[in-house]
Amino acid sequence: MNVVISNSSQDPIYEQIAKQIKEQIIRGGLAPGDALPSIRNLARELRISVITTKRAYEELEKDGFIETVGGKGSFISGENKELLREKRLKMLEDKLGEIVSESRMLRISRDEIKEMLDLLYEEGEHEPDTGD
Amino acid sequence: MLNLIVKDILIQKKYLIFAIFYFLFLFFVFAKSSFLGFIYFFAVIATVYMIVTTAVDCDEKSALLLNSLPVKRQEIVLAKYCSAFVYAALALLVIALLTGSIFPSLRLPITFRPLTIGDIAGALAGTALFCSYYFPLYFKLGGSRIRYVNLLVFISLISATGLLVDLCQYHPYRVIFLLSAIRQVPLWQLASKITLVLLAIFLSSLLISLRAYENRDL
Amino acid sequence: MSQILEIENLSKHYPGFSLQDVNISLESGFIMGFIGPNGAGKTTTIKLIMNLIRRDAGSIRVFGLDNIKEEVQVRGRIGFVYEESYFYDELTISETKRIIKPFYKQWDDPVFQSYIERFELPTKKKIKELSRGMKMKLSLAFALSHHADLIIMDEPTSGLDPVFRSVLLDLLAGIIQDESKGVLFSTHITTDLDKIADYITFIHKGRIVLSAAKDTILEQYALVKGDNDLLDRDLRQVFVGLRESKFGFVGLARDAAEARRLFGGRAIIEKPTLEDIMLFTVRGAYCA
Repeated sequence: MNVVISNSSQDPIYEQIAKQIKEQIIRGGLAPGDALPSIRNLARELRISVITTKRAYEELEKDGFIETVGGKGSFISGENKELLREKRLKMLEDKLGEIVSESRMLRISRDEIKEMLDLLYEEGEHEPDTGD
Repeated sequence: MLNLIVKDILIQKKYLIFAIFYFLFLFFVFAKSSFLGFIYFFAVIATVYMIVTTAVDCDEKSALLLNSLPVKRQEIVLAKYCSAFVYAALALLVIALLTGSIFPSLRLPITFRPLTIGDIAGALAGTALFCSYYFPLYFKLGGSRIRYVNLLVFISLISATGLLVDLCQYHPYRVIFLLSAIRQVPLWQLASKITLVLLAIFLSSLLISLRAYENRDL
Repeated sequence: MSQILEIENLSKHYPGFSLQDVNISLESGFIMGFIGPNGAGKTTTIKLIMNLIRRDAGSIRVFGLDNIKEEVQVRGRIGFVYEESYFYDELTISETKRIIKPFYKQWDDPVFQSYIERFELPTKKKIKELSRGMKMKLSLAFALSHHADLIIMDEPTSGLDPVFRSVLLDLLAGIIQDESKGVLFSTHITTDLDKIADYITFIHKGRIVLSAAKDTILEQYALVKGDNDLLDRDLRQVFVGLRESKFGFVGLARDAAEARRLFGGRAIIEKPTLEDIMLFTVRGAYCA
């Protein structure tokens, strides 16, 4: 897990932490069930107040991204599949958008793209499904 | 409290060694004089005086450290009083050793009389008297200001001795009268009266010191 | 977690200066920064906690115990570091340890040794031969070697280089990993506290100006920088302190949200540092 804090940012530090952890969860860098460092540990590593890290974790818990088990610590929540799916869909859409603009630049037509897509799908059928 | 006394000894190691030489010096200088009877008494008091007044931890800094430790101020006061007697006891011990075994075995041309109860009593009384005037001032005024007091006492002692000599010279009859009056009182009566007075003085001094130090802002 | 330090309505009067109605409380597991200009009353407050001076009014409870009635027990669990070195100059470190050690029931020799090695302190040298930084490290070693639950430090870093200050902060962060311990750290070098402190108490002229969580304080105030013509009589009220120069103004607004509403877009609005808060509170309005 990586967290980098900017002092010049307008966002309060706890928000920066929460955002970065959220992003990593969405991107899959942090999987459900992964343990997060304790709030004290994180505070020490980042050289900030433990109240800040506590607030960041509280934010994440409020939004359902993590769960805190008393005595054991905080873990990435496995229950947010819907949210994760939505976010990943959005990322897919963005990637498609990239493909569209790239193909325009290379002057490849929509049909050519569709052909490429069909080929890829066919290849995919011959391989074992690695779906979720 | 033992900690505190040990602490006092540890921080003054060098002075204690110096004190021993000071001691020996006094002995050999006054060996031939007729004052030998008083020298033991004098030496012990002088040594205690020297050790206590040149205490290394008089200053504010050390007081800050000491009082920040988990120790009561009362203990600090008591330990100071006790340590004066510890020094006196050590001095007496040295005398006893020197006159009892060391000097005789060295077969010196001079003879030193052994230690008597009177010496011990006198030394302890003298120490008690010293404590009684010194410590209340020490705890009230603090280490740095006590030096002025020491100077004052030193000067007045010298003048007092001068006055005493004058008294003996110019008013011998009064002195003789006083001495014979004292002689007539049986020893035990005199001793017990003096002891009671000393005890009273000592205890009040202790109470004053305790009170003074309790209320002192550091 | 319990209250490690509770000061209520503390007062102390001197001819030229008074400490009045000081209220501070610190829960265990946190670091409290005690800031204020020189002469504000920080050292006086600490001396009152340690019972080096008598309080005139109020109460001080440490670990739930009265600091006077149970002073021996309380001080046995406090590790202290003061600004000036208070050791006996003629003694060596080892000899000093021999004197101090018997006073603490929970003295831990291996821990002391490990700090001595870690700080690279020469045990055979006399105190007077040590540099200022070494003396402070020694004080710290003593403070941390008897399982103290509260560490009190009075301006420990003034006169020390930033490298060692950084080492010290790391050390304190390490101590506070144990939730039963607390740290009270007085300083006028607020940059040390900007990052690591959990709570801040700001004292000025013997009175507490504010005492709250550091994040809350820094989010509540805002630093506003803009052109002089933006200011009018009403807008000036928004500021705790204002520095005006020929080229513009810098002000500390007490309410960040309000400041953003009033100045947003027309002036630069930034998060203040503790130093800004201290400076503007103490100096008020002034011309550069």
